[in-house]
Amino acid sequence: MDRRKFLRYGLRRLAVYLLTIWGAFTIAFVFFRLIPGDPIELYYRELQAEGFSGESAVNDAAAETIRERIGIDGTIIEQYFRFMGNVIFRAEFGGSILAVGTPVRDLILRALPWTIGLLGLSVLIGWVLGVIVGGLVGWARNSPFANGLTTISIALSQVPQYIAALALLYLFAFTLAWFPVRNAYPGTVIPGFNLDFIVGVIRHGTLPALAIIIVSVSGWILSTRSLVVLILGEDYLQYAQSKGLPRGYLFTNYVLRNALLPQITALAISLGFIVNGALLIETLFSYPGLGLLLQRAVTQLDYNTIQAIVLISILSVLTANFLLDLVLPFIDPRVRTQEMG
Amino acid sequence: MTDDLLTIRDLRVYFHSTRGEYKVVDGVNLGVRRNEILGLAGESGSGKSTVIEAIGRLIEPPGYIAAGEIIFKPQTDHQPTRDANPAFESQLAAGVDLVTAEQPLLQYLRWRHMSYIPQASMNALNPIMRIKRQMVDAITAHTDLSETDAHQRAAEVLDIVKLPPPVLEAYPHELSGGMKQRAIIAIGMTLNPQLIVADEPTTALDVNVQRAILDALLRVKAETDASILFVSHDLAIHAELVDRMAIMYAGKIVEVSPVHDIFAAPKHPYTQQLLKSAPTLGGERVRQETVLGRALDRLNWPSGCRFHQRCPFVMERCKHVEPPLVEVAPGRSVACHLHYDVETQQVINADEFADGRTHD
Amino acid sequence: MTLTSLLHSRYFLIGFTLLAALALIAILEPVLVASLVGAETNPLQQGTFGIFEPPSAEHPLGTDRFGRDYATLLIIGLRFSLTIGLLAGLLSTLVGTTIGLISGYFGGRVDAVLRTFTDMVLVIPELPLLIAMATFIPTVTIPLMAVLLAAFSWPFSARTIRAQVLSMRERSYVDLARASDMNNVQIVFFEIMPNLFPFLGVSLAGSVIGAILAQFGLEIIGLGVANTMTLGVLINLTISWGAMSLGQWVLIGAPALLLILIFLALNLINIGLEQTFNPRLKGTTGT
Repeated sequence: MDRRKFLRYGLRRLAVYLLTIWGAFTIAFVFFRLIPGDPIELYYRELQAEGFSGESAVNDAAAETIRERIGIDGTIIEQYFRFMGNVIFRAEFGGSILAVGTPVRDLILRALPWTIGLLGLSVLIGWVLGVIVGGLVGWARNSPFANGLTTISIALSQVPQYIAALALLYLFAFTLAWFPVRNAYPGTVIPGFNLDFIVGVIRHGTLPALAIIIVSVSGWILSTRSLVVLILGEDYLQYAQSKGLPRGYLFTNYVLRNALLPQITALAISLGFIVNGALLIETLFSYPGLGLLLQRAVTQLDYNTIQAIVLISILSVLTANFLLDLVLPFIDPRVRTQEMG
Repeated sequence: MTDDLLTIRDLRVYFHSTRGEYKVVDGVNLGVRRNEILGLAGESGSGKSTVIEAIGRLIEPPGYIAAGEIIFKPQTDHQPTRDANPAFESQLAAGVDLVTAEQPLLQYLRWRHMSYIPQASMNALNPIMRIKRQMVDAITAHTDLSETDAHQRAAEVLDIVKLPPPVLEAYPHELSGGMKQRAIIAIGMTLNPQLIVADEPTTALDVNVQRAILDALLRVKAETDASILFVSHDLAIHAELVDRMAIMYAGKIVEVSPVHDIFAAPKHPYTQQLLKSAPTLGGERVRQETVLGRALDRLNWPSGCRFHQRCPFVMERCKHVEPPLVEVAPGRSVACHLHYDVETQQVINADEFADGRTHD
Repeated sequence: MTLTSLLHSRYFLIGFTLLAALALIAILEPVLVASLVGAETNPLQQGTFGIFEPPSAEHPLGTDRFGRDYATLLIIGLRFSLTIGLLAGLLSTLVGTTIGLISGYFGGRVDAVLRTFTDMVLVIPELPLLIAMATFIPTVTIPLMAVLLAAFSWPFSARTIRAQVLSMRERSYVDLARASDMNNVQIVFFEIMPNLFPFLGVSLAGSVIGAILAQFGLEIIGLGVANTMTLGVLINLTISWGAMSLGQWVLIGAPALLLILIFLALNLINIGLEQTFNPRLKGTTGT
């Protein structure tokens, strides 16, 4: 591929990427300011309910202090420029209420690896398994075994991941006690590069990962199967068949390879949405990723942390799309021609 | 038994549906001789393409071959490839029924002895593979030629259809329709097969491109001594290209003759009508199916001769007795009661029907 | 292709029957609840019966930790889950269809703007934003919840409908209508809309699934509609008082199963619709 053409294409995509980030963050900013109800008042009421403040009405001075601390003081224009400047140029999300004194950025950075590790890996494993099995199921679409697998997949794909996790948790953690119930690693080991810690992480990650994989794999099986069935009806496949090519070669180079392209796009989108997917599973297993952080922030009405997680989740979708744009010309010749002439 | 390259006997291809069996091909008899171009003509829906797919064993469910045989008998000393399989080759020399052939044998003979040029060649190439790869994979699947030799061969056959070497590196979407079609013809001849079946290879192409395709096919025949079974609804193209011609109507062959005889003196009333409705080469192409009225019901063909409802010479017998395809003059076969008396088994001299104008 | 041909689809029939059965239970909720716990009893009132009573003739699914008849709670939960889902789904389909129709029918710059907007909303991960909003909104009512849910799910309908309208606009009957002096509104309502019904069905079923799922997510975090019993709330409640460690799996399993049945029914209907009206997709649905 022509390096200069690709560079030009890459820069163009980068510009679009940055522009979308700006647009999406602006929308998010407006959204947060549009929410009916005053977060400070709500926060105050919560404090009173818990008996931390004796005053019956919201104290203006105290409210203003909190407002400043969260960064929602001043006119809306001032707020907007401060928000954008902080978030985009300094990756600064303000202070947290959840852990007073700790910047939200640190909370996020602490949680992010767990979410990426658990969700990223599970999504990837589910994808690889689903594409291969789905490809085979589509290839042998008239066999009873393939049809049985398809039916099971249709049923399984309708189970919300959270409910699958509940079932696994009940069965393997509460009843059989094979796997731990909560957290990402045992409280008795020291995080670091040691065997106990690694084994602990794997044991704690197995059930949540399994829940994600079981449900996502059935979705990938169905979508890959549909793609394969469509490809089986394509003229180029019938033609390749008439060439007397070995069946294995036909499957890998004509069927699976052509089905892979749309599935790579779908994978990128799935990976972009991992923060979305992490929320529920992590709360169920008390897994210390972004999902659990969000749940705790919600109970504490931690404005900045909630806002930061929303921004991160948007950013991850946009980043996944951007990376996909960069990769696509390498794997799809049609995109190459279309985008780079 | 004749020494034809391909002999089709009583071929029936049905498509299963909840309403019954669609008898798309319903008793076809046809022979392809060695080193000839045989044209197969007929309206859309007459079953031409299905015959081709049956020969390639490419019928997909709900379609199936209900009856008949397709004997394929290539000369096995013809251009032996180095990895030729002696067991398969001796079977082929004796003649193989493609309807019942096992998968390994089919896979073996495909492309090596028989290649296929599909109808919708616009989409016949894998959109994400280079032309080179799609030529080389067929070569390496059937011979033990090295990758380099295979490339060499690919460039050679592209040259025969007048495509420049850069086409090898191209992806299908970078080629025009005519170039794709020629590339496919080139792919079809890479292994010097003895039979090339081509399903409407010129349809949907403009006249200049059609000319290039016809030239390419004629050059293929000259270069390789292959026989070509050529399907098209376009009679003008048949007149240009083929040696003999078979006319198909309602799932059956109604007439087979040398191409000159067909155009000079068509025997079957259907052939006569078909010729009258056909435009000349280079003229405006008319959609055949609109010329001859509405399509027949393929679930229930008319009794007797399937053409009797449209035939200007219809007799009582035509409504009840199906006419067999019989040789009524040297090299000329026709399925019509006007030309052959099934009861006396006598050929009728029916010259007065020959030009089809008697009852106009 | 007529609507009656739907009846030939096994998937559609099973899905439709299942959904109809669930809907019937939801509609008959007051009657069923009265027959289970008596008309005078408030089914949500704690301490009416003993706690953790095993299933019996009186309490088909037993009672929960607060001494409430569990079958009753389940029926009430089903009713509100379906109501909110349907409301949000209808709203989302309405908004999506309108935008898709305008986008596809008028094309050009209108289409470009609407499409960019649609794509923008489509890439926003809905759950974090929904959670943020639900956190800071003081009281979330059922209609408000439906609006919140629909705010993020309409792009799917908009996309489907736009694509269909785009392909339909070029077909001959629309030209014919134009030639016979019908105005845009008439063409849209009399010529295009009737052909969109199957796709409206697919959109509706899809958005109902999406809405119930998102609502379920909120409830798991503890952010549902105020003072309303739904299946998600029931699950969240049951887990939070430790049904797992107490081995009360029926109390979690029953609402979970109902949710899955709702999703399954809607999805089967979708598969049936697509099989019937989109033959190219035959045997390919399921995602």
